[in-house]
Amino acid sequence: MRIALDVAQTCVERAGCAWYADALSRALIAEGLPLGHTFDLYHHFGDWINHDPTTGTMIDDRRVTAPLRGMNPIAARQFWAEVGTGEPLPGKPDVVLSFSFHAPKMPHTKLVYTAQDLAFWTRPDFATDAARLLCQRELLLALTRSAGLLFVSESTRREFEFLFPDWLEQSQRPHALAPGASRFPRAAAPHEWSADTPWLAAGSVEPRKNHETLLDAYARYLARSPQRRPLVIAGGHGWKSDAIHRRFDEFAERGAPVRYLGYVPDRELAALYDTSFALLAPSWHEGFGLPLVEAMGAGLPAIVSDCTSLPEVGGEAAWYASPSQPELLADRMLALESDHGTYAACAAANLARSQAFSWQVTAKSVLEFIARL
Amino acid sequence: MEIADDRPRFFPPLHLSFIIPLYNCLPLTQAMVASLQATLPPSLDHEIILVDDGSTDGTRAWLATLAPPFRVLLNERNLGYAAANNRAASLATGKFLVLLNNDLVLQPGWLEPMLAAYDRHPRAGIVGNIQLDARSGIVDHAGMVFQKDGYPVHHRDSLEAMQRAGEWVEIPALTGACCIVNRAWFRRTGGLDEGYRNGFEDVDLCLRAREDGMINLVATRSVVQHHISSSEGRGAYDQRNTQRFLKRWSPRTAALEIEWSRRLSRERAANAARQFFSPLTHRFGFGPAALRQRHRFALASEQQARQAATRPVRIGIDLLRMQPGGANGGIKPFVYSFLAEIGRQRGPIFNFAVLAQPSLRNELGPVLRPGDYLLEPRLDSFAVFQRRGELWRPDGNLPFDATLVARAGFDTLYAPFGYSSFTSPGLPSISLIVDLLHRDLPAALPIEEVNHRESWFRKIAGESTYFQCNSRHVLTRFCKHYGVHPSRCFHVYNAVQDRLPEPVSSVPPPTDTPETPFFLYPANFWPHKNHETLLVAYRAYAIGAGSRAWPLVLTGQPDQRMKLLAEMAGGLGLADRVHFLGHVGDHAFSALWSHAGALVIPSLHEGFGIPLLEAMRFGVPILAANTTSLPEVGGDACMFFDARDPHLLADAMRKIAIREGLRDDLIKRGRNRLAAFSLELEAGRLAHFLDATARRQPP
Repeated sequence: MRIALDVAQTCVERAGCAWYADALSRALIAEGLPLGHTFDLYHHFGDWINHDPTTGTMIDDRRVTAPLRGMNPIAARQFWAEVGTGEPLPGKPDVVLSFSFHAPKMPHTKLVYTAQDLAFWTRPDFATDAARLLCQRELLLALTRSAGLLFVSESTRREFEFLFPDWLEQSQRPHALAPGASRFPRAAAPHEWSADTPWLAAGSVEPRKNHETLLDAYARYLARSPQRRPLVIAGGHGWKSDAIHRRFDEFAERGAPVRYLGYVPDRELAALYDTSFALLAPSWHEGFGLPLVEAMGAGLPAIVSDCTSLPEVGGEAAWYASPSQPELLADRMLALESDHGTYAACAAANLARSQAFSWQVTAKSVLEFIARL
Repeated sequence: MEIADDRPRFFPPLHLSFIIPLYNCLPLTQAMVASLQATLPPSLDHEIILVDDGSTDGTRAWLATLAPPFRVLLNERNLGYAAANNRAASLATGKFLVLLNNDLVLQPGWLEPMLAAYDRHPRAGIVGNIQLDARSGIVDHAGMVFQKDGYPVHHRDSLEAMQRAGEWVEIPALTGACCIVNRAWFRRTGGLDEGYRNGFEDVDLCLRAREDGMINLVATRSVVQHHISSSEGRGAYDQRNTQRFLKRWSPRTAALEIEWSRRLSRERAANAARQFFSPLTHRFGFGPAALRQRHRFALASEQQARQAATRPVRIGIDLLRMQPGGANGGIKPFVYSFLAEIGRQRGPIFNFAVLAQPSLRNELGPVLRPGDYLLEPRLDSFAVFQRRGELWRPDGNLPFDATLVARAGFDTLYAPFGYSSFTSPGLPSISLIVDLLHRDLPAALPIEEVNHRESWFRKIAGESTYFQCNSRHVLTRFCKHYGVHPSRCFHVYNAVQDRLPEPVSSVPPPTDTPETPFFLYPANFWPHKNHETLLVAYRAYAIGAGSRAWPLVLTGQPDQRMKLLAEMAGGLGLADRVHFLGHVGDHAFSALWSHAGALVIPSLHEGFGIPLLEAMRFGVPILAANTTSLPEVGGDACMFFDARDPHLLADAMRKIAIREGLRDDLIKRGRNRLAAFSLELEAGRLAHFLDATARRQPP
């Protein structure tokens, strides 16, 4: 089969969905080439047009082509407009996988649409107007245009059911789970308790990630902890984040060890997982929760929100706290810190749990899913 | 300037509501009420509404002893002057409200000259009188004028001078201590502004009356006594009130002051000249030639001013961006209805010159009046046509360049699409601000459109004289985003619900209209109209309701996005339940309304919301988003929801479809609410501003 992969998001500063597209594309190619499949990478996708497509995901193999990589935005717009009117895609791929929320019209090719999360409808406060209007339109179009749907988590599939009751059953549309996994090699051993490693929060700064509760909990923790570990926050400037950045500054002014690193490239992020004490993720809403699975893979304990997809990823291994209760999160932080045995058990459980997720497995199941379409 | 008129006056059987807010000072109140009863004409049909604003002396005990025509309202706590009056006005039944303070002493014959003003002046707004200080007997109030910074002060002149000036003297504003106002207008304009606290409410009301094209008058033959500011609670909020007033009005009131003082000196000079040239002293007068010349100048200048105030003016209207059919959305019904209404109100003194594409000629025919002009763009010029009866008579060509405005003789330029390329220095203009979509929800527009709108908004914010805003919400947002002073803005509600004909059986609703009650959403298929969420919500509702679910009917100009939405509806399995009717003509639209079960407006951004008024008119209950202008227009007559959440919307649809009682209640509230939207009044306000700009007068 010839499989086209949407890597449009990987051409700009990458967030969770882009990393997902990048990692799954690499895994699909790694699994697919030996089976005789060939691949196309699309660096522009539908209305997602990049100014500089050259920075996107690239695989050096002659069986993997990137037909749109050299295209400027005007030509790319023209290209997708023509595809919409019936022009065949170059090389006539059998199936196109969309990762970027877009569902462009392609009358001659099967489209597989990946639902990353549906917060743009279920939690409107946590999505920008632009994201809401765009994703709502494209998701509805995907319902007619796609030959199959992938959900990155069971929680996202449930949200879909909640929005479109009985639709999956009525339409008989093929669908499957395609959970994420860690991009980094699994650690050999779980983390050991250490007195000076920091707490880590990974993810762009925006209301959905709930840095408010994180900071409230951290303030309580500081007041009570003998260790007073620093808090390291890694993640790009998201929307509506001014108030949170002001709070970072206030903490810093009072001498509290809060360090905001900004956007962190993946190699440095891997190092951060290796050198932190535990991951904190009190998100209100996650489609999958890449930081959690990566922290687990690094053998790091984690205290995360009990909402949406995180319990599904963390299973019995991770610790949970309601995102609306900073005092509870602070208690958990102190509990994790005060007992070396508990810490070790949690880290080991996380590392074990992380084996449930692997890009290889996901890629295999996606290839099987595609083959059945 | 009025000449004394001694013809007998007959009062039609008027019903009057006297409103007196009370707060302590019982002896003054009793004296005032006694003087009121003693001075009322014997056969007058009236009610006297006493609103007690939380008195703590014996006032309440005394009120308990009163019987009709007294009506007593008790406020548990002190709500302030504005709220007390508004509450009384909402219960009053009279044609006119007479607002009175409880520290007046009324003199015999005070009421009749005030009422007579409405006979003599068809555009009389608020009518007041002369108030003497009860202690000194000196004139304390003969209307209100403004200081140079726009701050209002009492106009004080000697009683003789005031009475000499005429029986009714026009004045910018009046005190609310003793005045008459039309009740229907008072309710429509929202009554006294409760944002003030015991001060300035009356001046604010008078300025709003001016905006609505009315004139405020002092009846100089009506004289009462006033115990100045005996009421408690005055002065305590001066700072805040002053700020609020100046923030809203000051540049305009300062301009009014200049205008007023010019006019006063002109009239004084003319009066002196008339005395000088009176028949007793000779037709040509005595005295030095220079004096005679000065008096002649004064008379000529007065005559000139009068001519300037009444000469016909030509109003250029730029409709070049208007398209035939429904592609422009709500702006077209607004423009057509308002031009027709303004033509009806001010026909003889307004001459319209409309710039429009040739394809609009047929649509504009019924809107314009004989004598009006149509300027159609050709390759390099405008072809001019004049309306003659039912025909358009060619009337030459005008160049397509900067000299157009001067050659066409525009006195003012009206730009319903906001921006006009024919603005020019020295030509006053009014721009219509429909919404602030490009600032408040830019995601719903292509970036090119956002930039385009931004550039012309910036341009007109500097260039236009006045801004007509579609609602108070738009006014506030516009002033906030562009730093424009509120006194350069006015709001005009698009009260065009009556443009649709009554439904008749000969014109059925469009084919494909369902037989059963249905949800109706009339809106063009623009992204901010939020059709996607509506579809998801509708599906959730329809699945729950099963076979009893109401269908969903969508109207709007067919375009690419309509096709997309139809595709989505198909994908959701709703192809047979969601009906896309395209653009619907007026008659079929009326028929559609009369069959609709409920209006649903999940729009994320509206400047006004004409369908709300149409639903109220046709007795259709309303579900509306709780954002932007919709709560302001819908008031208490809608069921509101957060339009970003499909489940809340689905819930609302479920409720309204199954609960008949809820529907009936909403319909009833809608009918009441409709009284707040009158085309005559709203068009009057626009006409007033057009007139004022055309004559270079402060509005």
